[in-house]
Amino acid sequence: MTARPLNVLLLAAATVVPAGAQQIPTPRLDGAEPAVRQRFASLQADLRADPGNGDAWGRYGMALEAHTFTDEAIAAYGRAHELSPRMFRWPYLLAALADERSAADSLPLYRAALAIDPDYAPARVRLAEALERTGQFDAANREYAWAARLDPANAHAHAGLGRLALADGDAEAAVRHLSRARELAAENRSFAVTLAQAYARAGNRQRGQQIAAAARSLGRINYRNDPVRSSVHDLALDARSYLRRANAHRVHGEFDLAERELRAGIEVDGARPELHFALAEVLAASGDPAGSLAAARRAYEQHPELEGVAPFLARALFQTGDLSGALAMAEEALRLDAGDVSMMLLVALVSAERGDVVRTVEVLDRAYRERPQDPVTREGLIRLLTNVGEAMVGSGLPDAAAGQFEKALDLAEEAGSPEAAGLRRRLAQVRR
Amino acid sequence: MARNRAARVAGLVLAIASACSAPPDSGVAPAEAPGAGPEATPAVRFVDVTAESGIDQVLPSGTDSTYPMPAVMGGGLAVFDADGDGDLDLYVVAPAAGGNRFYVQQEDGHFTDATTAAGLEGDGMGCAVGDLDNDGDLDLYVTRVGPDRLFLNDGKGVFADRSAAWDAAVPGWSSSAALLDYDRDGYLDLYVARYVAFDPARVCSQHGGRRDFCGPTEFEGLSDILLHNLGGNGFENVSAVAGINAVEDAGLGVVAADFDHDGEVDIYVANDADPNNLWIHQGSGRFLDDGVLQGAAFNRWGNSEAGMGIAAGDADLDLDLDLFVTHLITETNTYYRNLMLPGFEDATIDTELGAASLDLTGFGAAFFDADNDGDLDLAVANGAVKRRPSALATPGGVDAPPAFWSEYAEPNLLLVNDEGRFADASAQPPWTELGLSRALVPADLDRDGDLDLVIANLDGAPRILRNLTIDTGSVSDEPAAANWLQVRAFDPRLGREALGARITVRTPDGPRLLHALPPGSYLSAGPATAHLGLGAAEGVQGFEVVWPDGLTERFAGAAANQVVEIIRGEGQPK
Repeated sequence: MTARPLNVLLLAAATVVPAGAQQIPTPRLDGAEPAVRQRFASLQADLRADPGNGDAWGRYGMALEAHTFTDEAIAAYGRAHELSPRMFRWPYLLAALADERSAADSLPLYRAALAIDPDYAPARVRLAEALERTGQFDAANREYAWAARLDPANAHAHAGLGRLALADGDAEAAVRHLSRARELAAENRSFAVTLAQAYARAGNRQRGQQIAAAARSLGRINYRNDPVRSSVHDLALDARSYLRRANAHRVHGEFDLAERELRAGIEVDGARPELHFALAEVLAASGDPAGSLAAARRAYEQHPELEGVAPFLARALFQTGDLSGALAMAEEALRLDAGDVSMMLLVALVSAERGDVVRTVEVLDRAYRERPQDPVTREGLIRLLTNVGEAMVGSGLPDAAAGQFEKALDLAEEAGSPEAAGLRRRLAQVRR
Repeated sequence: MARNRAARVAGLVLAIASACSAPPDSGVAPAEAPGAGPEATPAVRFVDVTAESGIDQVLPSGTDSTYPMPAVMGGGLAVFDADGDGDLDLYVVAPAAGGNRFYVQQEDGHFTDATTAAGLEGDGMGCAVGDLDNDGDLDLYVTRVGPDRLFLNDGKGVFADRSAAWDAAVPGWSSSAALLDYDRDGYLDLYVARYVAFDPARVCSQHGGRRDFCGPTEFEGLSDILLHNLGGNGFENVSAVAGINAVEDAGLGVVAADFDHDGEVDIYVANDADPNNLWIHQGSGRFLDDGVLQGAAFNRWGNSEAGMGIAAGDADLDLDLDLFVTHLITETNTYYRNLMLPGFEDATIDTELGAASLDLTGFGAAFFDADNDGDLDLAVANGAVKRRPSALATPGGVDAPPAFWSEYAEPNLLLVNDEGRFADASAQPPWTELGLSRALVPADLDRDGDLDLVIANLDGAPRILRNLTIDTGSVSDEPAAANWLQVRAFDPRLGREALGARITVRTPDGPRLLHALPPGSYLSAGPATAHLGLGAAEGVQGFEVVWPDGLTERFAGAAANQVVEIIRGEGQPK
């Protein structure tokens, strides 16, 4: 249809490897981080010392790809494949990069890789996806089925079968395959939303809605168990790449690995508040409140307005018992985001703890007027309003207490909460 | 120039690919031959007439070494008859302070800058055009990174800023806006897509740490805004009541139309990295986002993409509105075929619309019949938002954009519909020229019966591409093969065009669906006069119009090559 993607794809390959020569593709590194520049200098020195070493070219290609120098990576992988034709990973990595520009161009490269290792299921899935993208649906179906036989736990193979069934109008088969994919990769939003659509097409709109609603909380991360490709991304040395890898580990609950990545990133560039903040979150999740607090403080010192850091620090201070610090930080968070109901709740809690009833009631009223939609925050507000109401009853202030119960009841009814019935009864008692 | 350079290395490319072919006993399942693509690219010709049009001002992006994100996203455009003299004028919206320009078209077709006289100075992202106070002229709404502005027209092309009086100063970063009369009270309401809570202090980088523009995932998305028109006197924000504020996504493109033909106008929003929204009107002023179940929120793979612009049109001629959404490099643009289940399917592969866009970042897009042959073609405005993996521009070359953008510049695309498959017809100038294009609007600027294109370019002049179909004939160089009709749906009770009217035209080649709608796209507004290519047909047998208030009327046919005004109340009620 168009020659543009193909031409552009290998432009770099052609220009950096003129006939007979072995020039090293050199990325533009002006503005790149020192660790990255150093790494490339070292790899280029290896290549100059041994220009006929296919693996050295491949390693260089991997470093280039890891830092998103795609064209240069394609050239390096191409050279690696020429020099080491029996190595699976070079045509496979080349195919996956080529696939980003042109699925049609990637097909012979995937086939070359699979000729060397026919049993590597992730490559077979990628071949199937490239076939699907080029409209070769029957061939794609065969490759997905083959991949599923090789690795029955490969969620992407089952998802591919489901997608093709859905496009073919077989919604029942689509539901079957996509349900299997979702079982195998519950964190994958793509599978969930396609399954939701398949249910709707199959006539079960209600089930589709349930799955679609649940999928809203899933991120965009599309994890693949593909060690060969994963090994590329592990090579990225710029600070943001450490954060990206850490986030991927966090999604899978691998907090120790996430912490390792973040500490390595901080070593590269300790002035990045997002690394410290991410470390604070990871340490909190892995049960190190003191470490978390220290990391959050560093993030806040570097960038007080970094999104989420002030509320996080306020909560961390509260959990460690520093009520004054928590109150000050929560007020600061509210200065940055006047509608943050969770911070209003924290201010109310601390104020209540200190016996400042006026402030407590005032902040709770503000939180009530914000009508929080987040279920956890809303539930917290309902509980706090109820507790304050009970305290007022205990202090002989039934009218004021009724006001608190009314607000709690209003929110509970709005949310369809089962607590509404109990609140209604309690309000009636208090009024009596 | 970039394409020529690329062509020189194609041989080496193929050598690498062929060296990697699998041997016959590789254990790989046999491949099917790819489907045969369209055999020939029809000769649709456009010529860039910007230089002789009188438009010479650049659209300033306001970019600098801090890489401010609005500078790379902006570039809006309105093509409309501002002064009521019957020809189309231009309003160009620029992200940099004071960058907006208003050009009035003169009788000889030249444009003159009338920005100050019209009271339209300022900056912004995009715009929407429509008669908001039902006084018979077109008003202008300008979206901005900050409070939006509403300009009411005095009928002669002089505008007054009425943002405060109308409560129209929507805060935050607004992008595209669409007019619709969702409550059928006769006054046009306004849907404003909003993008992200931009923080200029955020520093972003790629390519080993080189600084670059931030992407939308760096920030929180913003909920969109629905403004209810209070009888032509002001707006009321009804987003909460309508349910629109239930999601906070990075909205960019928006189109309002009745996608499921239930008589209620719906809204489709292209979100950048977030799932697209398909707000189905429930009939009582409340909207429900049904994009996921109706197959229009994610692509075939279940992925949310970097949705930028939207084109809406009946591309497969089955009498419903299909959607086309432009995306980032490495994502294809996506064609959502309306199946009327209700719902859509991603038919990008079937229509061969993917490959041409994979290496480009698309923004403005429009379905329009470029060659007047009776089906809808596509034009797409492109330009990267982060440095491209390989620069297409030659620094200092004739195709070079301003130096800052040399690693971002891309060519635009023309895709010609050939029986449901789209062929890339962009191999010749002006489609090979590089730039940072954003808004794109098809409109018959020279009133010769074919649709020209206006394209906004960052740090460049807006480009006018004149369509030569009528001058040269379409595919066969025979003028008779490029007949046309333009249809204006007018409601005399409202004193304005019936925005949103659905018009089914009986032609010798079968029924065709038109809408009295601006053509969608990105940050842009265009004429609501519908255009229909007729090929060799010398007329149409009749029209059936579903007016926005639900009334259906039939009208007699008309001869080709004219602008037909269809007036509500003068047809045969169905």
